[in-house]
Amino acid sequence: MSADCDSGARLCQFKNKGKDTNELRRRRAEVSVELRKAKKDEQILKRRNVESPVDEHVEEQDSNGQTTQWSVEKILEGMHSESLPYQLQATQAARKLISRGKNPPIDSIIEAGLIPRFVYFLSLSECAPIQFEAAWALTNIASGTSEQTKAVVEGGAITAFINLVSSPHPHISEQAIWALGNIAGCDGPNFRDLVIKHKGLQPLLILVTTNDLSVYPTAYLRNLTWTLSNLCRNKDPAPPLEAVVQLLPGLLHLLHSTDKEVLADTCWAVSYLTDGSNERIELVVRAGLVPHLVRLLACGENTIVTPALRSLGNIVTGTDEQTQSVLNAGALALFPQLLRHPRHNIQKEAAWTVSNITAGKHSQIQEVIDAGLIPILVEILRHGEYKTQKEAVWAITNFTSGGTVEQVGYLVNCHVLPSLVRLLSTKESKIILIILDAICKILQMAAKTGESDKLYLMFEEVGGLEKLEALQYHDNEAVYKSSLDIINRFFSLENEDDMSLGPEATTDGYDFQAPQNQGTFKF
Amino acid sequence: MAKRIADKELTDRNWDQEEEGEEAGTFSMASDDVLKNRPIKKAKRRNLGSEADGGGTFKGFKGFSLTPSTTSAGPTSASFSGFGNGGSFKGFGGLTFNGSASSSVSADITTKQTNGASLSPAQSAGSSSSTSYKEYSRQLTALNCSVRDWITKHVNDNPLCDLNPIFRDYERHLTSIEKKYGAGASDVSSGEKPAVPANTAPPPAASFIPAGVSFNFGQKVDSTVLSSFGPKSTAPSFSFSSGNASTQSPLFGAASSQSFAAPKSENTPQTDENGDEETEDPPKPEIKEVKEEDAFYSKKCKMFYKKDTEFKEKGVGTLHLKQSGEDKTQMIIRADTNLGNILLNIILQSSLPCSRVGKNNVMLVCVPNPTIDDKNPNTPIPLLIRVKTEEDANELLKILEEKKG
Repeated sequence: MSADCDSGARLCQFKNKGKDTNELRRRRAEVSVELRKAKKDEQILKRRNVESPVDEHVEEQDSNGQTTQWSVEKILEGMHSESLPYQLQATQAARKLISRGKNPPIDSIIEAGLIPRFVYFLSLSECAPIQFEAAWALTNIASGTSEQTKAVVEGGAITAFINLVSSPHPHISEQAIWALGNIAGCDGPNFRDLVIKHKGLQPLLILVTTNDLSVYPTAYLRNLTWTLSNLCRNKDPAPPLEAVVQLLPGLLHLLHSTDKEVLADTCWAVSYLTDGSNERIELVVRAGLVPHLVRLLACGENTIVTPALRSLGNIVTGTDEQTQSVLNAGALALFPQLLRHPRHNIQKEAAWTVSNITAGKHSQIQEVIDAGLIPILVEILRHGEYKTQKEAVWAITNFTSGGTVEQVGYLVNCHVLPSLVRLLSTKESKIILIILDAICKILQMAAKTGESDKLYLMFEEVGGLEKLEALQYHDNEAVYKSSLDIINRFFSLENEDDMSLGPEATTDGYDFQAPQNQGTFKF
Repeated sequence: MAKRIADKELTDRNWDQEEEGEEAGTFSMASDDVLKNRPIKKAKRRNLGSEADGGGTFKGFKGFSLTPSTTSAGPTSASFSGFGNGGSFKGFGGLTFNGSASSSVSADITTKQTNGASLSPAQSAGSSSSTSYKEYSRQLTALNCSVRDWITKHVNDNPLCDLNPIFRDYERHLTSIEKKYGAGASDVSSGEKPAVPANTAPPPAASFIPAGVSFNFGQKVDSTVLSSFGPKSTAPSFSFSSGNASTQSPLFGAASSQSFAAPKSENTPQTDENGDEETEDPPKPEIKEVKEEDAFYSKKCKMFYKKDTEFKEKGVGTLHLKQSGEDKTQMIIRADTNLGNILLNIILQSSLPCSRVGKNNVMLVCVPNPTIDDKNPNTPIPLLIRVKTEEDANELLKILEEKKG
């Protein structure tokens, strides 16, 4: 085979003549970025290498200088040939076919049974070009439908790709990483777990942790990060805990990068990992990621702030201690700005996060107070965007449930009542109920102090009584009951010795409470 | 724990999507069928002389203060006016803060709103035998009104003020009144004694300070932290804030004559807000027992009048029967509101039809005064008076029959 190898080597040299791997990679990267944007609505978890038509023509030149468009049959024949150079040619032609922008005949290639062949070529470490071509081809097949990805996996590609991650050739390593990212990100957790089972994490993580990130070209690092994030993605089940434990130090490392895409994808990875049980949140907190997430919260880039905030928001759904770790990292200092962020979604997520903090201990509620967040929440209640208002309502209600008398007093002093009362007109029963809950708690608190009368008057002055009376007509039974309950408890017209309800009008006159004969009276 | 996980999955794919705007909308009403079966309650309004200025009550609101009794161990309780916890809060107009929690007042006095309870004894008894009692009442009224006003003003200015000097002055003044006019005090029957909590006493009378009577209270206000009132009195927890002056009376009563013991006991069904500290019970409304002067019979009741086929509520109040002239009896039903407006005011005629109805009601038929139906001001209509128990109803009917002549 040596002759073949030599010719293969020559071909390799020829192949790369005039184009070094960096340039190839760069072109691919540019094109793939465009593709990513264009394919937003499709399964964008997978990314395809696509060559622009221009490239295709340029690179089509074979040894004869002629451009050829290979048919699947020809490819099949070539890939099964005895000659390595011919195999290489065929593989490259296949890659190009698969990579073309318009309707690549992926299914034909699969049906031709070529996948195992590609997989086999992956292992030919003596011929890097063929490894590269095969990897590229398989990546693109795996970026198609789930069926297509499945075919790639079933062809045994995972192990082969995992081996290639540690290839001495950076462009091959990158391609393998990319392919694994496509496979792991394929809808659902199954392939992800398969990659993990095949010990895919180790070679990837070694790349991250053993080197200073600056040695990697940007595209390479971004690919690596993206693939790792796919390995964190999906629930039901979430990634195995041992895998998470392994991944976290790698993610921590990546949080030190200065590249925005790397940071964004890493934060996404963390957001997926924190979206789970408290046990999982604990792993993230223990790995020391929280201070970095908080740091990134201030970076000003929405692509990074969004997942960082989501991660922190997830963490504070955990235990009080986990929540405390976020507070200790100084997160609240950033919230005045986040709660007023121009992007409504960030505002909403920030308010949601605060609502989970006010669901915590007194001391944590106090930290929210000290950070000056309550007046901002009241501002939101007054004229914020509706979704954000809802989160703010939750924040207030949780506050009234968990706060001390003192703290609730502060809340009242922040003018929360008028805005709460105004929001009672909303159509969502759920929100009305939690507002009523907050109001009830405030009134209860007032009753414990000497200030109830003042509070009742205040409530009356902001139109609370009219609202309560009106809410008794609400469609929703629970709303009716809740508003009636508040009236009965705090604004009852009857005396405590229950000279209660007057005769209720029924169709035949009136009922007294005691079922006795009514005396009749005659003039 | 009230933690809530994210409502929406957020990924690198969907975070940048245009969000559908959501509007608050307005709520939908229940159908008439449903509404028919729902008892709907009106809420009690407290702000009768409602200020146009919406910030009115708010300005006076100084945060929450716990009443003394809620403190288990004196000054370490979490009572305060506004914030007790360090100075890291911004104040709002009218707020005052304690310097630090540890020195917070356990007996912070909160001022009662002027339309809340006030120390307002009833007008001096008109039909009492001795004129000295008249003067005594006058003096006492003046004293109490002055105290009330003084305390109101000073606590409004500074809730941390020490009121001890005022109480000492009060004792002093009270003793001197007793000496000068108090001889007849012990003769007075319970019905005529000025009641201590007189929430519904006619405000004009209550706020009237008889001319020529003035009292001096301590000029210097000691603004040091007040000590707990607890040790001073064994009465049920002292609480200004509950507005029950009757709980104050043991304190005031310490120096005064025994003549005040009786009215206090009448006020025993106390609303004890402080007792509610441990429970989730809402505050019980205060008992407003009006002492109508000259009334030989008073009963809390609810009054209804008949309109078409059903009885409509006129109001809740107290029914009084008074001697009017030689052998006429006047029946007054006064509402239990701050204005104490008259729900009914008639002279019992011998022709007045009255009867027992149901478990605890008495029905009578008369021309209502004040007029209920402006279109038919002189038409008699059935009125229903509901009292607390069956016995009360029996008793009421008996008295009416007796007194109508």
